[in-house]
Order: sequence, then structure tokens, then C-alpha cells
Amino acid sequence: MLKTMKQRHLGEFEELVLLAVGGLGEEAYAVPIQQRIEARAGRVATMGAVYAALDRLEHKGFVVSHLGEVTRQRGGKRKRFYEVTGAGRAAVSAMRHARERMWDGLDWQPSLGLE
Amino acid sequence: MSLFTTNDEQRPPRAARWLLRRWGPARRHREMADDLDELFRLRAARLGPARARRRYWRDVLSICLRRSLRTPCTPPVFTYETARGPIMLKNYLKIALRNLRRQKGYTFINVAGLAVGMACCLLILLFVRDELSYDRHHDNADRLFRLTINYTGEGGTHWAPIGPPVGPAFMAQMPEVEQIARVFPAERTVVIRYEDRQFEESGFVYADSTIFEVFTLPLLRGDPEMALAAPNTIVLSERLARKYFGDADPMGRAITISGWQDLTVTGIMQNMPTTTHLPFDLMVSMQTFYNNAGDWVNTARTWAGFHTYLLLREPHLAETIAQKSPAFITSFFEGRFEVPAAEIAQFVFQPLPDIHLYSHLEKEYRPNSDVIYVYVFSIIALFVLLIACINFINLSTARAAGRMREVGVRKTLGAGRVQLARQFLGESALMAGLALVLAGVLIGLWLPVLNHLTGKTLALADLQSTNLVLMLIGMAILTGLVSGAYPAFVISGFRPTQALRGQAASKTSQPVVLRKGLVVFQFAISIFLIIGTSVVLSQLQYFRTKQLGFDKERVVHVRLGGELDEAVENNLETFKQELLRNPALINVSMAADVPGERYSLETMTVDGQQDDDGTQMRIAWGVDHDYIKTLGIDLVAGRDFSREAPADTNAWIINEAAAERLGLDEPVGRVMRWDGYAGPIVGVAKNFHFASLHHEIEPLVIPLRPGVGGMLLARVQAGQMAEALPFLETTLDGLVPGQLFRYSFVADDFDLLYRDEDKLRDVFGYFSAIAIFIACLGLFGLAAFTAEQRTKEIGVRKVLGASVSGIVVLLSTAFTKLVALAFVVAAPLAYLAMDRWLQAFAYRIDISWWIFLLAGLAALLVALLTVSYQAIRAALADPVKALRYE
Repeated sequence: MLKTMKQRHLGEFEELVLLAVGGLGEEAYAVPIQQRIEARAGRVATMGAVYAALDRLEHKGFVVSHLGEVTRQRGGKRKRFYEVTGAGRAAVSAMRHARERMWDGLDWQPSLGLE
Repeated sequence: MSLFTTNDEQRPPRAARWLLRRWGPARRHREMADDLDELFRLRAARLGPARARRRYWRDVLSICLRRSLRTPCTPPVFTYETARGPIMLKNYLKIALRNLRRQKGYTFINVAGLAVGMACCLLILLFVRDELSYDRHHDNADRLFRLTINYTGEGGTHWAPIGPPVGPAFMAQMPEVEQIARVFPAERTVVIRYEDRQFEESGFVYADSTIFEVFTLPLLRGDPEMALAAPNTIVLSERLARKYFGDADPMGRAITISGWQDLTVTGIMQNMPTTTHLPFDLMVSMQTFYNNAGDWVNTARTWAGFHTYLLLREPHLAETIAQKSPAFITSFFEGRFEVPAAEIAQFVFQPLPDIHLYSHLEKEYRPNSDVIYVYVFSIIALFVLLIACINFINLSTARAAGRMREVGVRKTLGAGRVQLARQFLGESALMAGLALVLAGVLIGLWLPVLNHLTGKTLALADLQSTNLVLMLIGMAILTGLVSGAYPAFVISGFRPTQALRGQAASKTSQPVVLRKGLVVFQFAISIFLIIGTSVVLSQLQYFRTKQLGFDKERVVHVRLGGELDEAVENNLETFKQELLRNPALINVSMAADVPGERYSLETMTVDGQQDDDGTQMRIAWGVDHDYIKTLGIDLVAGRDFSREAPADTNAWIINEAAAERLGLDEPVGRVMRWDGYAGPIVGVAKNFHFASLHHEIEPLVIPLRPGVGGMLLARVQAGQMAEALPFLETTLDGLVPGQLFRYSFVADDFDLLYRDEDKLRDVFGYFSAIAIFIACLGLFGLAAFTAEQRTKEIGVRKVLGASVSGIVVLLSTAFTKLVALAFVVAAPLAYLAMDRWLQAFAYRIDISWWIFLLAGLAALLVALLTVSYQAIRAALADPVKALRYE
């Protein structure tokens, strides 16, 4: 398996996770990330999938993580916060540009996924 | 209560948390658990706890099953100690499956044996559960008691039913009693007529209208308070209602019972569960009975007729009323006995759920079961499972040598004894799991057999309520642990250096002794069961062939009843003449009781006897002139009832036991009285068995009361039954058209008395076959193993000139000795146990030596056949190949 290929590539689900991390800003840890994906992308994401995606993103250098302060809200429990790196931002923007270029010249009506 | 739910619905599932802790990513599980908890709270608020719990499970599984989360990015330092969870588990599984596949024969023997054992055990569990569940379906089961009366005076009896007025009087004086209900089973069977159709039904009772308050008998139609309140009303079970009326509305329909009593259907009750000591399908209001019976019912204080059930206000009040009852008895029976009644009579309050297994009183509603069967069944089932476990232990320790290298390697890599033991225990659990699947199939196949044996209608569906799955898994784990513990202990004890050098063989002498001991144990159980089966068989054979003192063969027993009864009674002599014109019939008699049924106990007095209290004796309620002739009863003194003797309008024939009980040397000519019936004793019958051979022949008196009865007895010429039956039917039909022809044979009635023993014979038979089968499976495996181990030795012997037969003998002798030893152990135990069993019968066989000989030879033969297959195969093998081996 080519490690470099894998490192560069941003998977479809990883993209969602990365965007969720970016969108949450300061509050990006596993629970709100999962919630945001469910709420905005409208798909069920198991925590296993979320953790795995975060791991991969971190391994590829698209996000960094640190253990947060102990807060009272979680009864003195820990959480791991994530932040998008420059490489991450670049990768997701590249993805977006690629998409937009592919869309150029297509005159499909945008669908909201509603039946 | 399922294992997977906690009491607190508001918290994440505990098992899932444990799973995460145990199998989740080693270093991050705490952080993940915190995340999941937070999510759970969010979801519980939004989706409800149930869905939140489901999602929690999904998340945990999604984490635990994801390999990428488990493998850290940097390769770990792998040691046996740090190897945790799935990695090692996978290796264990791989090795286990490899071993199972490589040794297909052993796997089959182990799995098949265990499966049979488990299937037996589970079936018995079903049976036991059913037996223990009797009468517990009533909402008030803990407050329900049956009121019975025990006369402790001389010749006294403990009766299940009591006099009709006792219950209401008792309730009136005892505030502890909330309600009573009385049930009176007036007739064993009745004929129901609806429009032009007729049905013979058992399970007919008169019942108080309060029965719906006392028992839990849900009504599908009708009002429980009113259903049995009025006279001439009947409540039917759903089953019968459907049978009579189909889909039509049953309420308010008119049916006729016994040909004369018109009744209106006022209620339909749910079919009763089979687990009750008091099953019935038809309830007629008690008022109906009182209206027909007349005043005597209200004063019949000592007549044992009504089964009386009490609903107490509190369960513990049973003691209170028991303490208060002697005073009640004395005042209630005032003037009935010569001594204060409390001195010779006591009330016994039986908790309802105990009746089925523990109550064996006079005049039970129907014969109850016995707790002894629960014990016998359970013990035998456990033994069978034990035999199967022993196979497992034996084969596993025997094969342990083959796994020494593996153990050595594992130990060298740092495996601890606990880890190894866990691995091998896991392997046996896996085997048990495989066996479980097979056991499920076997249970499906054998359930009908068990139902046939026990007369029950058990179904696997019954088990859903008690978590069948959990029970099965529990059983597999238990079996796995029991049978895997010892091999795991032995195998994990190998010393690594010796194990790797292959020297542990010398250390296995201890297991060899154990192995032999276990084989002896297995065969001892099998031989015990064979002997038990043979003894039960011979006792039953004895029951069925013993001369009864009368001729039970070819006697047809026709139940009359209703109009037919009346018609025959009115033309008794002419009707009998008409029947006897057919040469197929030898004798015909009308009577109230027939041998094989339980005769009533009544009190007789003889004129001129000192003892005036009277003597309790069995009575054949009423017979006609031809009774003695028809049954072929021999007389030892006096004469038969005669039409020519005018004095015989009222007369008695008594049996020898009755003469003895009365203390009469010359009974003929003495006048005996019973409740307004008085007449001379004209003859003494030789003792004959009118009841089952469980009991001594009791004193019996037979009064001549032509026309009293309800049944017709007809003795038929040998070989002419095919003519006699249609003839009887058409003649009866000519008398009163349109009646059901209800008949049985006296010989068959008698056979039914030994139903319990039949059951025991079948159970013993099946289980000993199963036990032998499993024991032989194990022996087969062991023999194969021994033969394989001694391949070289056999080769050398053959090269040096040993004959095939010599080698077969050599290999078989060791096992033969074990079976012989087992016989020595089992035979005395079996003798003691079966002798004890036989003590319950007044008439019994002596356990003869040939039973033991037969059992021993049978076991030996089966064992030899099993072993010799392997022995002969080994002996016939080419010595050259054997010596080249390895």
C-alpha cells in the first residue's frame, strides 16, 4: 500500500469530519462533531467511525488534538479537542475547488435531497 | 430479568460499558467512555432512554470492532503479558479450531456426547419446571388452601373432600377466611346433548358461584358474579364451546346433560392451563345440585363429597385457623361421634401449589403426581450429563500429551498458568457451544417423546418466558467449565522444559488412574440404569400377569347413564334375557362399581357384635344377581345371590378380608347394616384384587341391590368380541334410541392403574439407552487412543509372532476389567435402590440374580463390541507400517 497516496487523500467522510471540526471552532471535540454531522449532513455516524476518521486526519496532519481543561460540565472528565491545521484547510479547499470545477457547465437544478 | 438490562433505565447499559473498558482501545477508552456518556445524556433527553441505549450499544460496538482504533500508529512491544483481548483471542480460536478439525473423530465424540447430555438435561428441566408450576397461575396462589379432613381414629382416613355444610360453616366462624369455593365432581363422565348431537365429556363439576373470586378463571363471555348464581346454568370452557357451537354465539343456548337436566350457557371460561390439580371443562351452578339433591345435603356433615377451597385474607393466617379449628370441629360435629370430634378428626389445610406433588389423599379429584418423580428424573438427567462430561475429561486429558509442545512454547513465551487454563477452558466452552447447537436439534426431536412419556404438552415456546437463550448459554458455560476444569488444570501444569522435550508422558500416570476411575463411574451408572429398567419391567410384567382372583379378560364394561340407566333398571331381567339370547355373551350384570376403580369407603355394623361403632370397609355400591358369576369370583363359603331365595331381597356377599376385619368366623347368616340397608350375609368370596396391586386386598362388602348401578358388565365368549360389541350397541339403541355407546374393557381399566410404573419404565429405558450410548462413545474414543499409543508395541508383538486374537484380547482386557469393576460397584447399589422401590407394592417380585447377570453381561457385551472394533483394527494393521510410524 502506498502510504503517501493515503496520506494525501481526503476521504468523503473525513471531509465531513474536517468541516465539522472547522465549523465548531473552540468547541470541537468528539460529541459535538458527531452531533453536527448528524444534524447538518443528515447521516447517522457511529462514534467508532468518528474516532477512526479523527485518528486518520490527525495521522495525515490535517488536524491536531490536545486534551482539554477539566470542566465541571462533564463532572471533571476529560475531552480531546481538535483543530484544523493549515494543511487540513488546504486539503479541504482543494477538494471544494475540484468539485466546483467539475460542476462548471452542468445545468442540473441543485437538489436539497428532499423527495 | 435479562442480563442486559439494568434497573436504572436512565443510565448507559452496563454490559456495553464493560465491553468498552475491556476491549476498547487500551489507552483511550476512558476518554471515549466520557464522550459516550455525554452523548447518552443528550440522546436520552431527545430520543428517550431506550433509543439512547441502543445507540450507545452501536457506538460501543463500532469502536470495539474497528481495528484501526485498536492498533496504535507506532508498533507495540508485543509480549505474552501485554497481549490483550482480540489478538490473543484470535490465536486461541485459531488453535482451537485447528485442533477440532484435525481430530474429527474426537470432536464428534465429545460434541455428540455433550449434546445428548445437554438435551436430556434441558428436557428434564422443562419437565421439572412444569411439575413445579402447578396451580401457581392463580393470582392468589399464596392465599389459597384446600380444606381436608383427617380422621385419626381406628380405621380412619384422610379425605380430600369434606361434607357440603362444613365449608360455609367454617367461613361463617373464621373472619380470616375471605371467601370459599366448593367443587363437587359428581360424575366421572357425563353425556352432553346439544340439539341432535351428543358428546361424552369428563371434567364435569358442580361449583359455587364464588369460584371466580377464589380461583383465577378468566371468563371470555359472561359476568363472573352472575354466571353461576342461578340454578340450571352452566359455564363451559372455550374448547368445549367451540366444539358444540362452532363460531355461533354460545351465550344463552340450551344444552342437556345426562339426558335430563336442561341447562343454559351463562359463561365461557378461558381454557384452563394443564398445570392444575383440578382441571375441568364444565361447571354447573351448585344451586342446580342442591335443588335436585334435596335436604340431606345440608346435613351431610361427614360425607366426603365436596372439595373445599379457602381464600384467606393473608397467607400466614393458615396457622391461625389451624389453631382455631379444633374448637370449631368439636362444636360443628356435636352429637355425630361418641367422643368429642376434635379427638378423632382434624382439618388439614393444604397450600394449593403443594397439592399436585405432595397430596395423596382418599378421593382426590384425580391421582396426583409425586415429587419423587421430579427427583428421579432430575438425578438421572444429571447423571447422563455427568457421563457426557466425563467423556470430555477423559478424552481431553488423554489427548493432552499431543498438545505438550504447544504448551511448552506458550510457556516459554511467558504464558502464565492462569492464561493457559483460561485458554483450555475457553476451548471446552467452545466445544460446549457446538454441542449446544446440536442439543437444540435433539431437543426438537425428543420433545414429542418426552410429552408421550409424561403425558404433558410441553412446548419450547413455554420457555420464552424464562429466557431460554440465557438458560442454554448458562448450561453450555457450566458444562464447559465442569468438563474443562480438570484438563485445563493438568495441561497448564506441564513443566515447559519437559514439555518441549516430550517427557511429560511420564507425568500422566495420575490422569490414567483418574481416567479409569471415571470410566468405571460411567459404566456403574449405566449398569445401575439397566438393572433399574429390568426390575421395573419385571414388576410390571408381574402386575399384568398375576392372577387377580377373578377373570378380567373379555369383560365389556358399558357406561349407561341418564335415560338408558332408567330404562335398563326398569326392565332389568327381561333386558338381560334379551342380551343373553345372543350366544356371544356368556353373562350380563348391572352394577354400580367395577373392579379397577376405587370403591367407596363406608361404615357397616353387624348385629350382635360388641363393637357398635361400626367398621369402615370398601363397598361395591350395588350389584345384581349375576355380578359374582359375570366376573368369575370364587366363593369360599355360603352361596351366590339367588333369585330363588326370597330372603335375598337384601343380602350381602363379603370377601375373606372383610370377614376377618369383622372378626367373624361364621359370617354366613349374620345380619349386616349400612345406612338403612340391612340383610343377611349369604356368602364369602375368596379374596380378589378389585383394586391395583399396590395395596393389600382390602375388606370388601357387596350388597345385592338389583337395578342400582349405572354400568353394564358383559362377559363375552372367546373370539366373539367382534360380534358382541355391535350387538350390545344395537340392543341398547333399541331400548333408548340415540344414546352414546360408551364402553371399555375391564382388563384395560386395570392396565391404567399402572400408568405411573409404565412411565417409570419408559424413563428408565430411554435414559439407560442414552447413558450406555454416551458411555460407549467415550470408551470408543479411549480405545482408539490407546490403540494409537500402542501402535509400536503392537507392531513389535506381531513381528515376534503374536496372533491377531491375542492382540485383540490384550487390548480388550483392560477395559473388560473396568466394566467388571463398575458392575461390582453398581450391583449392590441398584439392589438396594430397587428393593426400596419395590417396598411400595404390596405384591412384588423378588429381584432375581438373572437380572444382575443380564445387566452385567449386556454392559460387558456393549463395551467389548465398542473396544474390539478398535482393537481388531489395530491388530490387523500391517506391522511394517506400524514400525515405520514416526
